[in-house]
Amino acid sequence: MPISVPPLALAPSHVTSGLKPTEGASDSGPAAAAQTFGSVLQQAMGNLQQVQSAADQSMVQLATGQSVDLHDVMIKTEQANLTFQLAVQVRNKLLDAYQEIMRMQM
Amino acid sequence: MDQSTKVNPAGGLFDDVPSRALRFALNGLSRRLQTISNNVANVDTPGFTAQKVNFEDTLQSALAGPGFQMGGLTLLHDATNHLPGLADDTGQPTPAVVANLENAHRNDGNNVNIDKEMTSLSETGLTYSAAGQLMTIRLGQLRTAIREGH
Repeated sequence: MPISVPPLALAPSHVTSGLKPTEGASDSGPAAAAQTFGSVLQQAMGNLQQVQSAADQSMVQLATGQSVDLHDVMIKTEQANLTFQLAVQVRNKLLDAYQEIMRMQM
Repeated sequence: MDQSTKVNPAGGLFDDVPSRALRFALNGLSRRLQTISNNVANVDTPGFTAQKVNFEDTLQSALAGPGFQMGGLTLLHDATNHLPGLADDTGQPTPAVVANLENAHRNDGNNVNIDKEMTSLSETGLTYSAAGQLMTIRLGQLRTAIREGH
């Protein structure tokens, strides 16, 4: 019986919207689901990278005295911080899930 | 400068470019606050020339230097941490305090402009606060990573 893995809520909706598994995929269920899950994870990491870079850039602009909105810098930095914390928590949950599966008696 | 300089493993935790830029800026802003206080205290001193601190240009030219894979302010997370022109914290020179000759000297030889100093004071104070908060957030992020979110 194919196992369907729901996409993570980690990435914003514009990332996950294009990643739903195709109906009636010819691949075996787990393979198709794994491919989708992996690509969701990869996109989420890319998003985290992007958010961090934007925050870093605005921070450096503030440091060099360029005219940058202060609220913009603070918001971007906090967004990057929160995205990172979310990524850490997701990573923890994934590890827990993996360990639980490994504990299963076969 | 050797472009292939790898990240220094000993100091790698706090040596990424935004952190170093921020620390340099904090040093410069702190120096600027001191200079403003000194200027204001000496507003009546005959023959006193006002002083100013300019660290932004030094920082900007260091950032645009060959230490970056891409020019300007495009930062990559895997960019080399080599920032020529900015010594590490142990040897960090405080940003230079230079004479401010923008204002005309009055009869007693003093050229401190109180209004400009006050404006500079509020702007510097605000930026200093903001930079301090950004440093705190950034270090907090490291803490989250170390504690694995707990």
